[in-house]
Amino acid sequence: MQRVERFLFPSASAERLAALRIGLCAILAGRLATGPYTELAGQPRELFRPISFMELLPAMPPEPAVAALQAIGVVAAASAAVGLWARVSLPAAWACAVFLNGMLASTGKVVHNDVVLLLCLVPLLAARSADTWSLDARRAGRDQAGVTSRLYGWPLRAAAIVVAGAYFFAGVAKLVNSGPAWVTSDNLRWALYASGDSDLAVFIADRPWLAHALAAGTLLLELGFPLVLLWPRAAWILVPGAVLFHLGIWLAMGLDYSAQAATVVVVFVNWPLVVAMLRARPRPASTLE
Amino acid sequence: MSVAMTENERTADEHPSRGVRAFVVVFLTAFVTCGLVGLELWPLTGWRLFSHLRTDHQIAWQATAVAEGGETQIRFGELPRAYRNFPLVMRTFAALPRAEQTAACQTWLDAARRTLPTANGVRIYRVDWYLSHRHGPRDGPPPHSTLLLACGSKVADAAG
Repeated sequence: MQRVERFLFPSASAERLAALRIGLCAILAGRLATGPYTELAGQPRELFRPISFMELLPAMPPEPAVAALQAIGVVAAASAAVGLWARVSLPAAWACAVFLNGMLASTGKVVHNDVVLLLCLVPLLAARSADTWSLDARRAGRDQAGVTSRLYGWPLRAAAIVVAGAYFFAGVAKLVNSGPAWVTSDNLRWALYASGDSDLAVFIADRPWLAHALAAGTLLLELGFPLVLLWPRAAWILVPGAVLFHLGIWLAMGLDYSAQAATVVVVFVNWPLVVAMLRARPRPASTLE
Repeated sequence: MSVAMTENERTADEHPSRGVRAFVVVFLTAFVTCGLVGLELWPLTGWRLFSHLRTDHQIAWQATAVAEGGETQIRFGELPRAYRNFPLVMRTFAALPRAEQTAACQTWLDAARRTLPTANGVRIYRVDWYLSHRHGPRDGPPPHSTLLLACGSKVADAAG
């Protein structure tokens, strides 16, 4: 039990948690600012296919309400990113994002594009993520820079579990629903042919050996991702692998999982270390003149 | 918070509260349960992404606007986004009561009139086609269309 306790509630620096807040909220602000939510507002109710909490609504909400939620969400996410009233702004941004993405998921298909981002933000709702690298900490004069505590480690671990679980369960679903045939049959070739006529999709689908290799690689990446929880150095392989995986899907099939790829990078990169390394770099000669 | 200081960093011995611990356990339990069982409680999800086998055989749907001059395919990609979920709606269309099918069809007729004001009906077809007809050996059978539903002032009876 103590091992589980230590695993779920490790120590981390205030900066590491602050970096998670800044990164995820910045991604969220960008997604909320560019999402097509108002285009779905006022959709005829005959075409409304609600899921989850959206079933409480009789139809898509009207455009003024959606536009207001989008504006509030963007401002709240940007505020949370800079650590301004983060206790309020972060939950407000998350609530707006869940509702607006719930609209996108209520058109007849479960939409996963932003789900990992939304779920990784859940731990931050109850975390002290603005104890440093924030306007709140600066205004209050209680900046916790340099402090390491178990108060700051659990949201990072929970977000890492969400990312690892998302890939792992996607792999499990493939095995449960299709078995080894997901790799050994022409499944991926047909999926690529059906996704459109992009040059990359057709290039891969026309080469059965390549399609099988990529299908096997996909399953390996998804089922192997939890390794990063036990062996952090695996991130050096799995994180670039996930980014390349989503880039390939976008190029071949036109599916935009950029929010998920960016979330993976934000969660697993040690940003305080990156900042320290950048600060330690010798100044270029031109800045010394 | 009690803080032990070293030269460059300090360690706080404060622990997460019971409320936080309960929150973490409940959230992760719900996340893992949905993932393992395949439950869809969005944003919690069963992560079924391309998990079912794809085959050569494809099912598509096509809607045409009927006017005096004949039938014109409705290009949903050129309509406002609110109408572009036609193929998604059609996935479960057969399970809908007839009245709801007709209401949806009437909505697509209204949308079709944006570009074809003289349209007086809509016909919805199921199209069975084979990827191998277009790709690879190109030896698959040609597409086959079946009329599913018609709505509008003059075309409703045609579907039977």
